[in-house]
Amino acid sequence: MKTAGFNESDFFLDISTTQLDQIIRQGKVRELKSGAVLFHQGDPATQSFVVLEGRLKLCILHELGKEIVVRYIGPGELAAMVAVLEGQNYPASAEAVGLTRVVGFERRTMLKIIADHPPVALNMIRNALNRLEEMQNRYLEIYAEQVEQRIARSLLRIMKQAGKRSGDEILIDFPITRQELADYTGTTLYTVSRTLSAWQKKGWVKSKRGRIIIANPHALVLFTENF
Amino acid sequence: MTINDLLRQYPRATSVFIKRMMLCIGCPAAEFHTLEDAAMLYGFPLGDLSHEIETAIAEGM
Repeated sequence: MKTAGFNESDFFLDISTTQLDQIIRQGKVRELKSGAVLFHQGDPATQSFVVLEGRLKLCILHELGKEIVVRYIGPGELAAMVAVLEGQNYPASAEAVGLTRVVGFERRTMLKIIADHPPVALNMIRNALNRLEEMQNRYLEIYAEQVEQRIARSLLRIMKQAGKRSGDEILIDFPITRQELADYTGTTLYTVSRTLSAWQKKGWVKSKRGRIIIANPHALVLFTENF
Repeated sequence: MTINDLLRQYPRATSVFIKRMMLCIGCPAAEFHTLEDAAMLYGFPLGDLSHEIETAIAEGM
């Protein structure tokens, strides 16, 4: 059994080669051509899959019909673990990226494997925690992004109301402190300072004698519009 | 003439901005920027852009 390339979120960590063979024999190995769909979002989750070779792309179909790639599942990783254990539907669709080999386990087989090989349960917990941490980081990223966009929108609103064109730039011609901008945006002084410094480096804004100059309003607008 | 002046005076011109995926409509900078600024920012030749706008305006007359 080829198991090279497994990583730390491996389902099979701390499992000997003999045990591994034994576990895999309890499942059903399937080979998928690139682009083949292993399971569809919304179908009853009858089997969990461990990737042996290749890669699965997990996608969720958004209400607006847009496909969002949730994650890629590589060798040694498990897909649809929770859905199968909880008897739910597949929360995402899985598609093979390149020639992919997987082994599928039904719910009762999974439970038997966990009972027979306790490290597997630990690996599943580790795997779930890794994903949770990943989501938490992603959430923080999105949250930080939103704060920066709010600051940009505040600045643009102020600019629209009180700006004066001077050459290629637009000057907000009254003193506005970073604290005031933070209060106006509903964020902290620290965040405003950090964000404005970053924008100064990019040449989007400048500050001169307590005045804020919007040096590149276009860039700020594109930023608020997610372009 | 700013973009806002242009759009206020010739609402028909709006369609050109939509077609060209320009965010000028309702943009906070439209009160300050001219068509020339917008052409430069989006990398469109000013001649093409103003010609298209003139055509759109003429069609509405």
